[in-house]
Amino acid sequence: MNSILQSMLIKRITNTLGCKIALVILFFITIVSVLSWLNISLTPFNYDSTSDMILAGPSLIHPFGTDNLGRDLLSRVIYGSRLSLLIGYTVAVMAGVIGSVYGAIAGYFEGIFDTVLMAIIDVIYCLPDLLVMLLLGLVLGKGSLGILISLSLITWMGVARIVRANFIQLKNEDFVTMAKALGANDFYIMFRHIFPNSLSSLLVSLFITIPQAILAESTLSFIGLGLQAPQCSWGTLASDGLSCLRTHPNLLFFPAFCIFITVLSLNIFGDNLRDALDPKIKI
Amino acid sequence: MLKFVVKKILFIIPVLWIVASVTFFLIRVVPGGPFDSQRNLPKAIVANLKAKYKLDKPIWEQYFFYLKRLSHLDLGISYKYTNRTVNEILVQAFPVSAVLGIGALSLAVTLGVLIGVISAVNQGKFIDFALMTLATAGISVPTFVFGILLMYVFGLKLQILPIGLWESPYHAILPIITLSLAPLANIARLSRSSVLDNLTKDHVLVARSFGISESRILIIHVLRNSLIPILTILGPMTAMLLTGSFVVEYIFAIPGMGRFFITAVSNRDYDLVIGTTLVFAVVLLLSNTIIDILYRIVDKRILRQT
Repeated sequence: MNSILQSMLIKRITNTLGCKIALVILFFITIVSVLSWLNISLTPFNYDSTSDMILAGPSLIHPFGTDNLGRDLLSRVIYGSRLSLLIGYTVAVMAGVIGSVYGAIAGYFEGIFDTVLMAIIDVIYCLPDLLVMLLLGLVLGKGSLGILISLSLITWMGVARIVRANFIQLKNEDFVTMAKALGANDFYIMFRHIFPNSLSSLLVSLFITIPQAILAESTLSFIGLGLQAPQCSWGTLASDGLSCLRTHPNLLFFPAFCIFITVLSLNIFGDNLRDALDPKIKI
Repeated sequence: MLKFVVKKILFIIPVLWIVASVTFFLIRVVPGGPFDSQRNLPKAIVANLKAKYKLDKPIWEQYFFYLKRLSHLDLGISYKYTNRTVNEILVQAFPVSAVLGIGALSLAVTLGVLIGVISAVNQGKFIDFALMTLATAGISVPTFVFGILLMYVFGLKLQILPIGLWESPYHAILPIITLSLAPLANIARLSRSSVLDNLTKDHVLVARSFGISESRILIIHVLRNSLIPILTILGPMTAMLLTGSFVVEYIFAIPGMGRFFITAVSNRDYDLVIGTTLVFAVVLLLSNTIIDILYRIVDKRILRQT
């Protein structure tokens, strides 16, 4: 029975052509990125400074061309995908954990506790994201870990709001009253009864967070306040490419296109997931 | 209603205090001080500079001094733009960002709602599919990529529009379009689903059975109700515009608040950082308050509940 439901759900999620294509692209990009850890003839740092290999256009040996040091751009884009994707996925997971715990506590206990917790979120919402990320990023350092933590600290609030709304709605349901009457304690009710029921909207909000995190990281790196060389992500690659936009637009185009296609696929998949799991949620 | 407005406005002041305090301590925790970038500065001069800006005092004293000054709406002095107060800089930079933001917001709302309505009316047809695909693409393009694309096409290749700076109205066209893309796509997606929602309501069915024309139903019976969810996301939208303006001002070299903020952060120009942050917070809080009030005016049902 369960497996039939599961296969029906998967069919509902992937019922459009766009979503199938998006999934294939996501799968491909993730696999390439993961496989690159095995370092199969990848040369992101090897450079060939002979004059004809600097800023060479796309060719058979260098499909995306080479950069100003003669480094192969395809290798660098694949190498950059590691950090871009890792940051995107990890931030979503961290935001999910922080957000659901915070939202669960606020939603379940309500009263003054809830008011204070929500007021904190309201205050943080009064600041533009980028501003908070910049300040936090500076405090935590410009390494990938600093970016990761500061992005997580920004994105968890959306998740917390959704989980809280779910908890408020669900805790008045009959099955919760029943569990209470049978003597279950608060934590048991929260994590065994209410949490599984809010899992679908949590999943949806997580899949909205991934593309947001990827976009935010690339934007920060692009304006030079995110990752720093020698670390490399699609954002830093695009930033490097900007300086030779006039003569060699391919240096900017390929990393930017990678960001775009990944985020687009994630958004399409997220939309379908939302429609399939939780038709009530609007964008 | 009046009670609600007063309450909302009174809420702004403590929030601003918290924002100012958090920024004050955060920026001071960051490694590096405002005079570190000037190499080989003799120690005596650094000490004198610090004394001039009261940076040699203990942090609590600095904090209370800042709050005292802030209560007179004096945001302090910039360390890098010598002899210019933060107030002066912000008075110059704010109108630039405001033009950019208001331009982008009006473009996003008008075009976004239009696209959403066209899509909803033609639900399932090719035009709906095309517009919504474009909208999904629109929320997936990083602002900087779109900005550079426009610069490349209109500035470098066609050479019909300037690619940077802020001198004539023509200079505003590309930045405004760049900035409006993400909110526009968001509003289009939201207004489509909102119009679709309302098209199936009972009162629309009744209106149709009375033989009222489709266009009249759409404009009078559907659109007004569909605007409510759009109003609610205008708050987050303003935040999005502010975030976007950082990037757009950076790419197009526009002397607005976002650009000053980014340079101020890397210069550790403490007072300028806090000043800019406070202005951003005021804009965001005020727009949220106005939206809350508008929301109550458009949707009479909420008014009755409170």
